Amino acid sequence: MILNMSGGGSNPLNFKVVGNPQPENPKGNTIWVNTDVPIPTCVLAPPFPGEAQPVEEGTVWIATGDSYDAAFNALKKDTIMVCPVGAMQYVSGAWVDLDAYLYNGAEWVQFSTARLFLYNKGDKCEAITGGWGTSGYSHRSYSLRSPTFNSTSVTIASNRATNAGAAGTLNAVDLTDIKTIKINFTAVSHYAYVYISNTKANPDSNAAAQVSANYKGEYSLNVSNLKGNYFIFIITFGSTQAPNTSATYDWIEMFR
Amino acid sequence: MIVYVDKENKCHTSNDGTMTAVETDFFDGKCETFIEGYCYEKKETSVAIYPWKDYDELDAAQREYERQMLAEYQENSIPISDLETAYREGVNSV
Repeated sequence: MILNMSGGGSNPLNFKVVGNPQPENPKGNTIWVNTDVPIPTCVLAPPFPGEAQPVEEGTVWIATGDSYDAAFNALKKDTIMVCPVGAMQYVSGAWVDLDAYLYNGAEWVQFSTARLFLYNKGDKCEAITGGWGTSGYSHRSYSLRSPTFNSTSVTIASNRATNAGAAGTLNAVDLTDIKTIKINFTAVSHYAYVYISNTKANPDSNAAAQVSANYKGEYSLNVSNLKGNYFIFIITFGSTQAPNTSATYDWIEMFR
Repeated sequence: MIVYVDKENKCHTSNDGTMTAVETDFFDGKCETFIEGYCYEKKETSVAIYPWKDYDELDAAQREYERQMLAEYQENSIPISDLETAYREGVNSV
């Protein structure tokens, strides 16, 4: 089902899709998608579009499935039950997950959750992280070497026993509603450490949580008992035995 | 330091005979309450250390422990002026 949001004519449909701001006095079957980007067209269909289906900028895709959590009757007269299970919007050439809700007449029911990245294949997610680097960080007696930003990944590397390659969020990130942080290392030469700390000073000594990795792959860290703002800091140390160490990651995602 | 990990990956400061001893510097200088609010999860290529209790409570306990340690140190330490006096008396007696 494709909806032209510009309207016109009589409307047999029993729902509407709106972006921000959140409606204050919504009617039943109002779908609110948390986006400031104008919505020219809305598509209701399973499954989500693939990368090879470019559409008009701002198009919202409501994926339908078999979950009845936010089911609604799409028609005014007859009955077609629609079960929304996700929402995405086409913004600047890519599909972006959105927070989306259905007003069922009594309350908002969330059926879609935006993905939260700290870094995603070239995107430093600066709105959340403030950027990545070593500014303001200190780590014992090691001098910190700034990260290398590749087109779709970040590489940290040491080249002496007395230094370390590192990358940390320049801003502290609110982890209050976050249960897990996952990172994907595409390469680890020796060891890499991920520290979650409420200070940029010696994140390892002041870590509230940490995970180490000695091989490429996905690693997750439970942060469900951390509330408030924390820095995420990734480091690989040089040593006498191995002055040259490195690690590369291409995404870091937070999960509610 | 050495901590003991149970089958639920929870940390302990003493072993009841069923736990695995692990050595980590993550808990160096940390009090028992702090340590026992943590999990230590070892996998083939990684070790994850994270709180299973509310971190703010663990952090508050650790800060209280550090305050007590500092207070004991200050109570038991000898003032420098007393040390200087004793030194001079010792020198002068020779």
